[in-house]
Amino acid sequence: MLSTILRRVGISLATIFGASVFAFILLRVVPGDPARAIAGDMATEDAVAALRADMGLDQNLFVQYWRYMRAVFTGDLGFSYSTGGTVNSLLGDRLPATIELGVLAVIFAIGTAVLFASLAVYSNSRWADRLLRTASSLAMGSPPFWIALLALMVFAVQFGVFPGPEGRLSPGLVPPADITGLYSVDALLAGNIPLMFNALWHLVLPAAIISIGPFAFLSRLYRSQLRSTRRETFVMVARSHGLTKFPVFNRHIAPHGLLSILPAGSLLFADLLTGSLLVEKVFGWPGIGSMTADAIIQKDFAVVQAVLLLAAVLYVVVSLLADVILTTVDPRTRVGAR
Amino acid sequence: MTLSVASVRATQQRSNPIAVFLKRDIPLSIFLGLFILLVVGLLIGPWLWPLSSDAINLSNVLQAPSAAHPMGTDDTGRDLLARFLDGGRTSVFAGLLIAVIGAVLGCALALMAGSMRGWVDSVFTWLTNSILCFPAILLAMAIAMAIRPGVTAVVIGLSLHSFPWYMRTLRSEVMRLYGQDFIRSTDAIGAHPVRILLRHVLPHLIPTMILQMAAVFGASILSLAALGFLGLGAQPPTAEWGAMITDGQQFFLTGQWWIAGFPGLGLLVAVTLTTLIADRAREVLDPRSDAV
Repeated sequence: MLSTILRRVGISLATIFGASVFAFILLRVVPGDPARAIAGDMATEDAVAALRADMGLDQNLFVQYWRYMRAVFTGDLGFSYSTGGTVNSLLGDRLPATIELGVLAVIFAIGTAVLFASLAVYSNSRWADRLLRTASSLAMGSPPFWIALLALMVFAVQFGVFPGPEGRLSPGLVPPADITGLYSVDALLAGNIPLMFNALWHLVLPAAIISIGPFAFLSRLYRSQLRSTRRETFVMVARSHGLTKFPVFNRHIAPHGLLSILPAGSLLFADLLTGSLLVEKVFGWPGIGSMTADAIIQKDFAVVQAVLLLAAVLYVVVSLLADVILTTVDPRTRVGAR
Repeated sequence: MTLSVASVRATQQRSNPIAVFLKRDIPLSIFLGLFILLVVGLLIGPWLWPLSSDAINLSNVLQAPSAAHPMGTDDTGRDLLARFLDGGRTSVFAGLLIAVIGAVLGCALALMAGSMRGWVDSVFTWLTNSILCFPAILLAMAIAMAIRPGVTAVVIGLSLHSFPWYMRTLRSEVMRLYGQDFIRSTDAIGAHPVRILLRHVLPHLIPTMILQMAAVFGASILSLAALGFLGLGAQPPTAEWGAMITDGQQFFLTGQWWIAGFPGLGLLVAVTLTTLIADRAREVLDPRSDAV
């Protein structure tokens, strides 16, 4: 089992290396001059050349890559010229907002997907199954940014039950003391319950919209897993032992299905990132998604490079973790088993 | 014996396989019919609806849907039905292009990796895994920034993300086929490896490839619209559904819902139809599998 895990870690490292080279080439071999973009159109040619030398852009690509990776490993992601700060401090500001949104979206997505898929399969009703599949097809086809606009129109403008695009707290409220960076948790730790509810109230709508995409694919995956597990021999054996329908489903079929959605963890992560890229902008949410969208419009290379690297590393780490957990829990996935 | 073979041949020739395929699944034929109607409608749009998509008419701004303008007009008085048709054409063409480029590249790499194995396979797998670490939209955004925002950059970016996806699915299919008896016996009677690859392996990949093309097509028009929405896809004056939603965003909350409403609805219908078609087709092609 250890060798399986080590092998997997090796592959993950190679993948991260490949992804970092890819992201680097993508942003360096392209037409356009980052130094000129930073210095602006008014700068003299000498000033731009000096800046280029300062940024190391006059070196060859191998040296540039080496320098960049060395900086990354010492924890320096570069300088964001469009905001005038380091990328590290920018990420530190923005990351908690996106994490808070992402965690709630994951809870919504997994909760609804597992609930509805279980109901559809357990009820064994053709109509429930059709309803679920239609809902997930619609969810798959819905453009999140458009749904966000619709939701704002209905819930914020028409009925006023959720706040409009005003960010993480109602205007005028002071954020809680920074402990975790997640406003709802910090407010709870500070004992400020109204503030916590205000933060949660701002979270619900964007998180629900981000969770639509993950809901679509998780519910399909879980449904098909449940249906194939239901046909397995061990389920028949359990039934023939005299167990009734619910315990069989609850103790034998459902855990089996849950285990098999674990490998989808990395896809779930990618979906969440995509969702926050699209939805944060509509809600004026000060997170990674809106930061990236702004950085791309501003041609802020350092920020985009950092986001690409971060996305790739997290994707690989999530899929590695899922695999390791699966290997530890499920003996059939080990090399040499079967 | 010869008689029975001949009669079987005869029945096979008489029944068109596509007709059989459609008759077996009524919803599939309905979805497919609607989809073809939509695509054809978008393609012949300029002949169906003669108004120009970028004729500005300032005496006729922000009109609600009416007989003269079935989808209303925007803040510069442009007819939104004409823009809707133009925008849909952009989406459909870009989606098809991405699906085909990805399929051709991915299939070629999968055939090479699956038949040669060894280091070729390892290198290709490593390459595709490295690309698939990035979310498609993020990759396309970075490319749009690097080159120049526009439909071309988005097509490049999304194709770059779609071919590894094809490669991954088709590669395992190729590997599975190479283990099967009919391929091994063709090899045993001395068929040339290239002949085996093109005449015996490739045809078996087509159903999988078509299903994947449907999925890529749907995802791509959604991503194209997302990038258009962020201002990185189609640039004005090109009409595109995502960019049209951005145009209508500020009016959406003040009651002029039709500017952003119809393009969003168009996206929803087009992509959902593709998903439904791919789902049903998968079930018809392989009844044992549960559509995921």
